[in-house]
Amino acid sequence: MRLQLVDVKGYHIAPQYLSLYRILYCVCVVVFVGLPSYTWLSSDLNFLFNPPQYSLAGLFNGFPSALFFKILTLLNLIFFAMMFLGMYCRVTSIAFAVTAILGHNYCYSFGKIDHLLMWLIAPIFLSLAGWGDYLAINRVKNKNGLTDSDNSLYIIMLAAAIAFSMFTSGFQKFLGGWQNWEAEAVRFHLIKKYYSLGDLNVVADYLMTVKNHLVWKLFDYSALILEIGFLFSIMRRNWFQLFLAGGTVFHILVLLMFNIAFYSNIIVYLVFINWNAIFKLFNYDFVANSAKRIKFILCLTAASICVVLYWVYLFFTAGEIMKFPNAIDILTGQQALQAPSKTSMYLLFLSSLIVLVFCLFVTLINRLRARRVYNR
Amino acid sequence: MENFTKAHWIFYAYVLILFCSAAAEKLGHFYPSLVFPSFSNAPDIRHKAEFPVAGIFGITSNGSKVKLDEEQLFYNLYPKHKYYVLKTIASKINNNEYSEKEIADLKKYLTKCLNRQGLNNFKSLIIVQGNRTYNMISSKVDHDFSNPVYTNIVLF
Repeated sequence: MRLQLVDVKGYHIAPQYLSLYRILYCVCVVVFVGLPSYTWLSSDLNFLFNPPQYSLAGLFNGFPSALFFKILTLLNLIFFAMMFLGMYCRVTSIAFAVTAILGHNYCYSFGKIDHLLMWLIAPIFLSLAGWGDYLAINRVKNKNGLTDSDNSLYIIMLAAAIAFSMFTSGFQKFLGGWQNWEAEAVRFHLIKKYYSLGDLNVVADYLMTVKNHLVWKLFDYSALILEIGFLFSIMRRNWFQLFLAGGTVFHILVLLMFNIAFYSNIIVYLVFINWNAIFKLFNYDFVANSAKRIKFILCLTAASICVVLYWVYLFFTAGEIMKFPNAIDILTGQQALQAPSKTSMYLLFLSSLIVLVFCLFVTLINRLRARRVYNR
Repeated sequence: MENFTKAHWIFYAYVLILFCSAAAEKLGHFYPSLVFPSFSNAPDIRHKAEFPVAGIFGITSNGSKVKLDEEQLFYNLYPKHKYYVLKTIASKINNNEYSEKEIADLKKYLTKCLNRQGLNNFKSLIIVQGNRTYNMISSKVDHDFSNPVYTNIVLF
């Protein structure tokens, strides 16, 4: 009997589903997040230049000129639109990720790095896995004419990136002493955020009154187990899915407690759902039908592209902005040009919770069906 | 016995690179990096919780001190990083890392930000870094900073 320590093949996702995910990823960015803009940066801010020691920005003495950031923002916007429509998807997805990471190198040159990286590197792995093979304006087929090649390696590499980042976070918590019975680490960070930010919500207000040591240790230990356990969960896809479900709940709690919207991971978790099981529930063969134009997806794409065109208009008219507003902020008139509004973030996390509950429901139904067939 | 394929070798090499990158983080901060160090400390808070804070104050010509809102002051910078902007300015001034031109640019920038809010009566600004203490028994926080470090920026 041959044992597989890591089941690489188990991570295979049909490119038809990946292409559907590409559309959903771009729609998520358009509706909930908005695209970054780097037009607010220029060499005028050189006196605040303090990049990470080892970064591309760290190689230079200051910010490049405003023109550089304007070109970078425009290129990033164009690559995003092309990736969305599936035009030269492999190249444009990688170009989108590279331009965004390059821009963020400079955004994070004021003495602080944010860890919203996963949504920027995901297009690199997923484009190599074939997320531009279907639902695209110009499909580029492989040499042998088949598009459903084994893409499991790229998917598991993305899974490993997620798991590793969570593990590093958990491991440093372990080194910091979160496991000590006397420590109340979550409580300490809540107090710290509560009195330094002063912008936390009602859940934080309530939790500030909780003094039960067992409750705080439950938070500490569950965070530790989840984050460290992520690394080992990649051995099997279903274990990893279980941790992603835990991760979703974890990020929702972090939003409610600390007002930190860690949207970067939430968007990427979606790719690992059981696509087959979901379409099986509706007796719809998406793999066979995805090559045909699906009206719903077309409408979704058309509506989103309208928002992207509005971003192009803003690029030429709005001057120095930090981000292009997402559809929710445009519709609610908030026009948040610095960071996504609270409303859009709450709706994103609520949507992720709905997806999670739906996936659990699908799993349950499929298990019941399988048991019924087995009993017959 | 494991059934190794080419994909397995590539995957394990990739994981090895990830771990090497984590080890390299010991040398300093990287970007982009998959090492997420946030919220890692767990100090003893059985009696009190002490945490670092920073603030910026304006000093008027008659010597009175006015607390300024960093969010509004640094209106054109990424809002979540404003606390770190204060730290960067303080660190560069205290370590004499600013050239004369950069100091002049900084003063010009701060004056522009203050004028935007209609605050043109300050002769200097002071960045105060220190700790605040939260008493776990009384559930109250001290308003004064402990162990404060002052960084003075003379505007005129």
